[in-house]
Amino acid sequence: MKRLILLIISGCLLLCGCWNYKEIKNFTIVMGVGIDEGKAQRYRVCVEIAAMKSGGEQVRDQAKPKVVSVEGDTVLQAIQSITATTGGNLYFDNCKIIVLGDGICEKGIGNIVEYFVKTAYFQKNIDVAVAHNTTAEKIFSINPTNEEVVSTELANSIRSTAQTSSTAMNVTPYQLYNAYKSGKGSVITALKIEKNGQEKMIMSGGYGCFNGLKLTGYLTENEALFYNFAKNKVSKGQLSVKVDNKVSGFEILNAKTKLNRSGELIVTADVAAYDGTVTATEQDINRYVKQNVKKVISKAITDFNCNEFSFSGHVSVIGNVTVRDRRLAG
Amino acid sequence: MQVASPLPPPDSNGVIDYNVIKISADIQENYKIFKEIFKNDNTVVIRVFENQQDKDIQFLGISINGMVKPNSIYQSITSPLMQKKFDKNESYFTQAHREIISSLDLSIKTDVKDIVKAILYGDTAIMVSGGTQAILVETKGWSTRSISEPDSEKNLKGPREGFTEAMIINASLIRRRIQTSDLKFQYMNLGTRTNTFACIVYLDSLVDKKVLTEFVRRLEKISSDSVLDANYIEELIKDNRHSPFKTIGSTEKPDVAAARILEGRIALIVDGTPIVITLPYLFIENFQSPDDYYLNYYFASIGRLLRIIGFFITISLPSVYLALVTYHQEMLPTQMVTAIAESSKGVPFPTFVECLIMLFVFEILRETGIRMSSKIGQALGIVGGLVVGQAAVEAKIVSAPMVIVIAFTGITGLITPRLSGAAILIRTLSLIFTAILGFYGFFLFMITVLIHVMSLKSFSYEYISLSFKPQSIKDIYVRAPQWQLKTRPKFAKDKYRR
Repeated sequence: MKRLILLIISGCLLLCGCWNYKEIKNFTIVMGVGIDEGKAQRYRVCVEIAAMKSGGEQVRDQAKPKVVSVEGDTVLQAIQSITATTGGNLYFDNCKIIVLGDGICEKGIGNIVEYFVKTAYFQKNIDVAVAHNTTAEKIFSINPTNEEVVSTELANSIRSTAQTSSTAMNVTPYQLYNAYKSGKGSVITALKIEKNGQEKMIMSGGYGCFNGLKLTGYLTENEALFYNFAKNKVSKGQLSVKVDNKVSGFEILNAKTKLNRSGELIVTADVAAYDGTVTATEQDINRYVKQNVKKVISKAITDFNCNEFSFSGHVSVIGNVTVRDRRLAG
Repeated sequence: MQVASPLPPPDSNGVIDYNVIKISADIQENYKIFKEIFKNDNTVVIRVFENQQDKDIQFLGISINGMVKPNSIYQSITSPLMQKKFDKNESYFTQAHREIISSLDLSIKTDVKDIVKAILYGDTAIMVSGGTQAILVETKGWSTRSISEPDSEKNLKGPREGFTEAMIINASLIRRRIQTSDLKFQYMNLGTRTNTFACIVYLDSLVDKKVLTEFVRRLEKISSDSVLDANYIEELIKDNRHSPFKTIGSTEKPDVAAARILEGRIALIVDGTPIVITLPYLFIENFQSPDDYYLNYYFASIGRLLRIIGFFITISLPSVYLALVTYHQEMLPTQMVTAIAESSKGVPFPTFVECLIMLFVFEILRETGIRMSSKIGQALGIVGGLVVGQAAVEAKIVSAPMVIVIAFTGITGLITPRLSGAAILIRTLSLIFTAILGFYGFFLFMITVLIHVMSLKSFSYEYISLSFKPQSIKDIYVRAPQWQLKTRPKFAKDKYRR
């Protein structure tokens, strides 16, 4: 009897773990995934694979990350085809970003988002971005400026843009999925290819607006800032106020937006003025912020049919901006 | 014609029961007996000599060459016995004992067994014609190693004296540190064939009498015929004999032994070894060092914390690494995953096998380092560093991160030498569990170890006791300043305050 109990207990203890032994050296480390509209089949999936040379020698400078693209009727099928071409097990745990092409977004990304939410291979805090007027494959083909890998640079760029200029946002697949399931709209940070002399660079900023996970339109970077004001997502950034064709620049020190009981959206912010060219007064700023926030809410909700707020497009906005004057006296 | 032996026949073990033999009043008879006892032993000196004034008074002197001080035998025993005039009206034995032998340390024994034992330990036995007893004169004079600093317990500050192989000298080293008549030394003999002298040392007013009684009971139960080192005893009287953890302490330093005795512990000095064992022994003592008390308490506390962390690293680092690279890669930062994957590409073995190979190689290097003479040490360093490290990585037999992991494991393992045996066992077993079940297996095994350690006892005291009172943890993870060390450990229940 004792032996039986011991056997049961040891069986319980030893057989309930996850038997998922996998050697790190057999991995093909995927840094980013891009999904575009396919030509022959429904999806074209590309993955950026981290550069690796065996033996731990100092060869990483010469080795460049590879981008592999394969088409498939489902995302899963395409990914499995990639495994067949690369040979190693695709390892997605360190995947930094999912870039969705413009074309596929217009057709709807419900299936894609659901795949990323429900599969166990991806981390749950992975960033999603949309390629503005371009394909994901093109985005991954651009040479990175700071990092070795495009995906890492994209993820870092979205994070720093969201923190320093408040014109982007970290959006994860499950946030999109939740919004989709609750019938709300959602926005995804847009990536653009810009020319810098001969070189091409990727810029993050602005949003793609989605209704029912179908792309309905884009907000510019400036609009994205006011959209973030409405969403209470502004931490730092710069505010350019145009009054009588004169532009006054302010630094946003902090900002907070609240919806009060009477249904008014109150934007409270501290901004700093540093130089003598600033001519706008506090009233000007408040008016400017109020107009633009109202405009962007109305654009998203009415024009793009993308409402992720708890209010309608006719909400009244009150600006409550305080200026910290740090100009030299006189 | 064969002469009948004056000794009784030996028992089944080949041991002769000397207590059956009686000392005769006839010196020649005694001469025969002892000649037979020490048959074929050329180091024994047995001599019959006479008093020059009265040739009828004969003496038999027995001692062992090399174990005695010849000068002191001549001055205090043979010379007076041969030259002084004896009074015929009184027993020669009593006169020799009381008046003639001038040595201070004398004793009278009747049992031949005791006499033989004393002779073998460097005493000189004198028998006088007409007497049926022997006078044992303390003439010990064997040579011993001089007192030096023990290699295994070096310290920065504080006393550098270490115990030697001679029990008496060791006892004196403790006595010099605790000068009170409260300090008790109790002799006993261990090992039926080796008859090793041992000495239990304790402070009568502080010792827990229950522990003392239990200790003596366990010592008396030892039925081994040889005790050559304190570890023989340690293993025989341990509470949980199969545990890899030490539940009896040992030290080579008299200051450490004295400090433990002052905390109410009991020490046992065994003749022939510089190791003195102390008990009860707690888990935390594995991390304590005499330097903790001789250095500034901030510095000492950092040192002790490092030792504790070092132990946890040495038992868990290979397993944690294995779990991270074979089961839970998502816990590693991306750059690290890439770096590890890059460096282990082309290595033919699974990480677990690689880890076992490296641990095995490290243990071999360590063992060689201990066994060989110190002059070859540098060569070993080169072999270890170059061959096992660089060359193995370049030949793609092991990966570079694995070398780092094992090197760090090895180094941290040396911080706590008293736990090294347990560490090797725990490290290897946890590695096997981790290879099968990842972190789940690792924690499963660690919990098992924890349960085992928590259930250990050292002479009825818990090996690890959990308490969060300031006075209970004052000397556990950190060493509190001297003025805060107000109480003794709980061995000295009645005299709790220092």
